[in-house]
Amino acid sequence: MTTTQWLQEIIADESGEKPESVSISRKFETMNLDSLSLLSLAHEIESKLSLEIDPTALTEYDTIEKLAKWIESNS
Amino acid sequence: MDRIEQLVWNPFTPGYYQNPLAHLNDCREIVPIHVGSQGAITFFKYDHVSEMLRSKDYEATSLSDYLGEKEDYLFKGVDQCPYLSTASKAWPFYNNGHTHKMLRVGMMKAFNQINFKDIIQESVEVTNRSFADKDEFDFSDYCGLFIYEILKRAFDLQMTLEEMTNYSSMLTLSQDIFVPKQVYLEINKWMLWGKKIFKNSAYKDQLIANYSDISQEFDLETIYSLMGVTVMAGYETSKANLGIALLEAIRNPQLLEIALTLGEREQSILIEELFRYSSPTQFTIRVNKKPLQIEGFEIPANSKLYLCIASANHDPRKFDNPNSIQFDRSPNDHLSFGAGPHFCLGANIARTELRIGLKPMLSFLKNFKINEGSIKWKKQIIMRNLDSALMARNHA
Repeated sequence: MTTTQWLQEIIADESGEKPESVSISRKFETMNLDSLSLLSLAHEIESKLSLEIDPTALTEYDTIEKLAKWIESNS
Repeated sequence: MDRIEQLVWNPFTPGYYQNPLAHLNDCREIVPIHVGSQGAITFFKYDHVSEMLRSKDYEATSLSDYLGEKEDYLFKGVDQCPYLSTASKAWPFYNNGHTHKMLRVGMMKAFNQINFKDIIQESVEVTNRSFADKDEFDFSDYCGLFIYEILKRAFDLQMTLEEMTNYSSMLTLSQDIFVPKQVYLEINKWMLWGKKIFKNSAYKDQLIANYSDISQEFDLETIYSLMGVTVMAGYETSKANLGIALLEAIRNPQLLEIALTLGEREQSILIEELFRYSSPTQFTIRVNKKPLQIEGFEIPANSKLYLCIASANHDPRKFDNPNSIQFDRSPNDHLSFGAGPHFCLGANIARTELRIGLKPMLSFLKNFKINEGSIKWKKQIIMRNLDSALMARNHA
């Protein structure tokens, strides 16, 4: 599974949407994700990938596409 | 992470946990009011923070309400009884008005019924004895044992040191910012655990009796909530304060020698200075009841305002040489215990801990040297606290 696919899966789960409806260029703010959800996602990414991630990063890397690129360049 | 940053308060600034003051001082001097990375308006100057703590135009916010709103999300698909909101409902620093006043009266009465002086004296002796034959130890454990011994005796708590450490650490985290649901769920487990422990404590009966005396019928959940906050604040805040204060003294031989020779009055002045300098509670939160105009900002009523106590306590407009410990600083109107209606209920206990504990603890610790490279701080924002710091016996 690619980073993008994995992110689609966990973000769909968090937002309660179907993975196929979670487009990689869609901004997180347009999904059913509040600041607590974004923090929890950041925590999930950090613990699964053993990667130090600023919890506010998901407001800057605010699409799956941007976030996947950041994860891949920092892994 | 690499990011171009303008100056915005951000606890993820590299090195923040090791030394938050560098960043906080910059915020205060360059942008003393601004929207921080947490998305809320944040105040750094002493005058602003002091005014907002003291004025009746500002109120505490309810953590319990926030956690209650998030309950459906936090516990979705999780086999845990939601207890976060209930457990934090009666914490006095999140309440206002009459309820807040009544909660404080019952707790203060309970504190006044405890002979803290004897308990603290006994606890410092137990602590020094426990570490007497060690050549190396973690300074954080030393501070933790002292506070644990006090609380165990004062509040009849049937929990181990490890349990108290974990419990209070988790309850402290519940007040922090940037807390994800995974951590809230862990906190919830500890809150439920605490309730079981508190069932048979004499402190529970004491609180019930105190509220009955003032004709306040609080339910058992309120009593457990108050017991939880007693342990959390009593352990974590006291340990944080003691740890930072003693650490500064043992790193500074001149200060250490002065501290050991001071008379009672001079020692009290130094202790206040240690409270100012250490500022373990780095931030507190208030809500403005009325719209606010301040230094060009138009802030609507009911906005969440972050008040940076640590920065205010180091504001050069209020304190000369604010970033150094001046053992004879007086007056010293620091805000480490807050101010106004939410002034810390345990302030006098914290003062007594240091008045009785400072000299015997420093006399013991001066036989050891701190390993500077081993000093680690907890990744907490609201409450600054040592995680670990290794000490080794001097063999000169």
